[in-house]
Amino acid sequence: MNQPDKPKAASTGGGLFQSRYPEASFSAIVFGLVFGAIMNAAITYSGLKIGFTITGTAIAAVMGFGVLRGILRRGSILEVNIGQTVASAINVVNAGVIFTIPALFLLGERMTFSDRRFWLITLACVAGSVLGVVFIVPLRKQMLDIERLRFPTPTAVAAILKAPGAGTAKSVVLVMGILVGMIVYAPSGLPALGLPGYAALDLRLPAKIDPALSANSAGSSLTEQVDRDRDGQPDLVVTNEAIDVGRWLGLPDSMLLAFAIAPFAFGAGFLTGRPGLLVLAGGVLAYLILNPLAYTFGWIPATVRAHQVPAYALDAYNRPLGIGMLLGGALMGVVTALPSIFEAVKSAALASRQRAGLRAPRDEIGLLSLALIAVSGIAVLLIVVEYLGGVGDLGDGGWLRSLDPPVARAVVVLVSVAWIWFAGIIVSQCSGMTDWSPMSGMALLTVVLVMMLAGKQAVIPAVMIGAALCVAISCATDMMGDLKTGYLVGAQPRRQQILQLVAGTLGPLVTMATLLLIVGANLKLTGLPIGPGTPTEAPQAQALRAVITGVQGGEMPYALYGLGTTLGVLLGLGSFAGLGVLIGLSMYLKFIHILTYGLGCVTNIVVGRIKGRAWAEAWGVPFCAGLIVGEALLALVINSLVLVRG
Amino acid sequence: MRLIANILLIASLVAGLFGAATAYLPPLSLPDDQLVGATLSAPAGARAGSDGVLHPIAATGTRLTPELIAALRSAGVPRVRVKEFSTHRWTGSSLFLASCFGLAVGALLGRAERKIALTMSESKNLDRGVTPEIVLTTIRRAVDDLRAELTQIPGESLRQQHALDVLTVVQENLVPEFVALRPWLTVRIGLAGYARLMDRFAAGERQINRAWSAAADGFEAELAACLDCAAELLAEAAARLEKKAPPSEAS
Repeated sequence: MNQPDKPKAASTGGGLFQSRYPEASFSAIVFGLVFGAIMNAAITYSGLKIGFTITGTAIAAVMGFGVLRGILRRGSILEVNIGQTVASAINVVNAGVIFTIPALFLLGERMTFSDRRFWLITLACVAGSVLGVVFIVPLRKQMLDIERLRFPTPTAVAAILKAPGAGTAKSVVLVMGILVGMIVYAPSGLPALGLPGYAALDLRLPAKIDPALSANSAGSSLTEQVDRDRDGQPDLVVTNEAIDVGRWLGLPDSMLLAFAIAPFAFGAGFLTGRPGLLVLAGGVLAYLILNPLAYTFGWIPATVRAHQVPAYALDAYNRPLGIGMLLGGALMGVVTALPSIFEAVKSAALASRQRAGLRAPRDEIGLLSLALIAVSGIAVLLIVVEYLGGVGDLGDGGWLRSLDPPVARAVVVLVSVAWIWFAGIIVSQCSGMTDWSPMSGMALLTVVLVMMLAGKQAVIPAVMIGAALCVAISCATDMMGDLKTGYLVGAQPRRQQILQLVAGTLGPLVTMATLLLIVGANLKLTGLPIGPGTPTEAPQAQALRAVITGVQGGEMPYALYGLGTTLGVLLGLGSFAGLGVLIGLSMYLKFIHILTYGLGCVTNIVVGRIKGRAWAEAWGVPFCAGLIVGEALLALVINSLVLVRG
Repeated sequence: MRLIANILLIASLVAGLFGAATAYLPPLSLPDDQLVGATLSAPAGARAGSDGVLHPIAATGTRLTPELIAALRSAGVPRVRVKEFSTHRWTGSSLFLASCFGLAVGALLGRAERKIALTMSESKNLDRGVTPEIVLTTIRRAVDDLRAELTQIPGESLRQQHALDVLTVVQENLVPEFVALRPWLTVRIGLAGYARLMDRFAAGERQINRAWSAAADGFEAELAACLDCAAELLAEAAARLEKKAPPSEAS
């Protein structure tokens, strides 16, 4: 058994730096800070390039294992847990920033390090990171102890941390999973470095000649079904990203049935198990039933070709309906969970060492401390909005136009803070149930909400508050995930909470600085700050820009959001209050990943039937944890190389 | 009944989504006065250009006029997408309302079925001799026995390995068995009572998990302290369960 160096025995360890069993040690914290900053910068760049970020928790756990236990030969399981808590606290912020702030550059705004707005926006994001954590901490007991949400990836991380004590066989299975994850993902990720990927296998559809076109010597003579880009060759069945099973089976083009080559999605689906099938159900409804029938009935413009239907339908109705259902389902989830939320908060308020016979240290940061920190975060947001301007200063004042500008600004901040609280719960619940995070949907709603409150021209404050919200909910979700991992290895929640609060304030600075460096480099190379025409296209921010211009042009389908919310609420009347959340989520997430995720869920059920639930749990969890970690590790290496090479 | 509830839910959801999707898609069969003045939010119709590429008859942002409506009708366009929502133009409203009714009925049927299933599973568990009290007692006994055994086993690595073996069984078998009794417990003692019970149980479980980690890392003092703490917390959980459960069912 691996035994790190043991410190001298000390008295009971209720403080942050307890010495009887190393947990929040100097080496763990320093590792977390350094590695977290490196991950943040690398993933910020890759997120702007490819449109999504990767969670750093699993990577940080593996690296912490290697550095603290392997190289320094002193890390306990709990120290590695603290290392990954700190690292992920710094890293997770980038998702919130890159979804939102680049939209300002796309809309023509410019910022530099000497610009006051840069520091105000960074400060708002810091406030967001703090608020996200303080709002979610009181719900730890409700989500983890009472509801016992699964949190698949944090569960996988715990399996990694516990590997040394779990026995050689399980460690071998974990390592096999990591290798399989890397091998399967490599041909998908390496093309980012200019290396060949799955597309090089050149697996194409069978050729089908169109007699009408074959008479024409110019252009492709193949049918449009097999040759969409009209290059004279049948299209690839296996691309670097996905395997297009639907096209290979000859399904109608309006049906999307392609599986992403994503070991992490499969692993997350396996770890979720049966409940994940509800997520798959929403995507099936949208992409395999609603879209093809809408196309058949002529609801899609005739200029939209069959294979363009999924993208068109996503903007036209799937995304607004899905987000609406998510909201309605979340509302029902919160309402039905109120008794357990109330009990959890009551328990947190009454918690003291005496209740556990002087043995157990205090579990959480006290409610009074949390309240003071929250008030500080809200005060910072108020100050930032006051100095940033844009609310109540311009002509079109929105719903608050009759109020004095300072009062309007305060109302905007307070409503936003309430929304941060609610959205943090929704996203953490989603993430806990399925491993998927509807953060982009929440960002979109936030920007729309602030613009409606403050006026359609209040773009900068709307995007800033959107960024603060996204940072808040990503920190909240990360906190709850880390607390889940901590729960499974026996960490003291209070230590993780304190370190998350402190480390999380550094994340926005790293991300914003990286963003400005990238903008500066792009301006030198291409004359453009970000977006199409630069190496960093920022697809998520492009989607947000489209929403902003949609709101300004009066084109938002508000009724669809309302109707979706109604459906979500009604679905939640049944025995599972969160049903609307799961179904709504997958209506607007990338379906190719949902399908691979669903495959993982089905595999879990089948393996459980054949080998038994205990076997599936005992061996499936470490293997799938390895899949998640393997892809994440390789993605980080590739992203870092992309960052270095530019 | 579960099958009926699920079929009703699925059918109603599909109907609801179809009904909702038409909210901004008025059919061109509506009278002109309900369509004129609306603004297109997507291209409408198509005609082949001289380059062979399809071009829309009306582009996004075009306001509907009687002439344009007539042209789109003669081109066979069934529906157009508009920016403005109006209940007069929303032909899927009846379908949507029917789906809402279906979802509500399906949800209520599902709840009723779940109550019946819970009662049946409770009696199955009783037949197997599995009650929350018995499972919790088994966990407590495992922890207490381990505390006693650790004082008697010679050799540090033997003690630590034994602790890992026992605690792994508790974590992987006994705890999930207790957690699986949640539906039964929430019916018996209510959600608030279940929350109070799990507050202590989960705290005890976390100490068991910490004990496992301490054993894996070779910290015996911490292992012993965590087991003591776990024993106390599980005793509190048992006391809460006994207090809330009806006397005839407490073991």
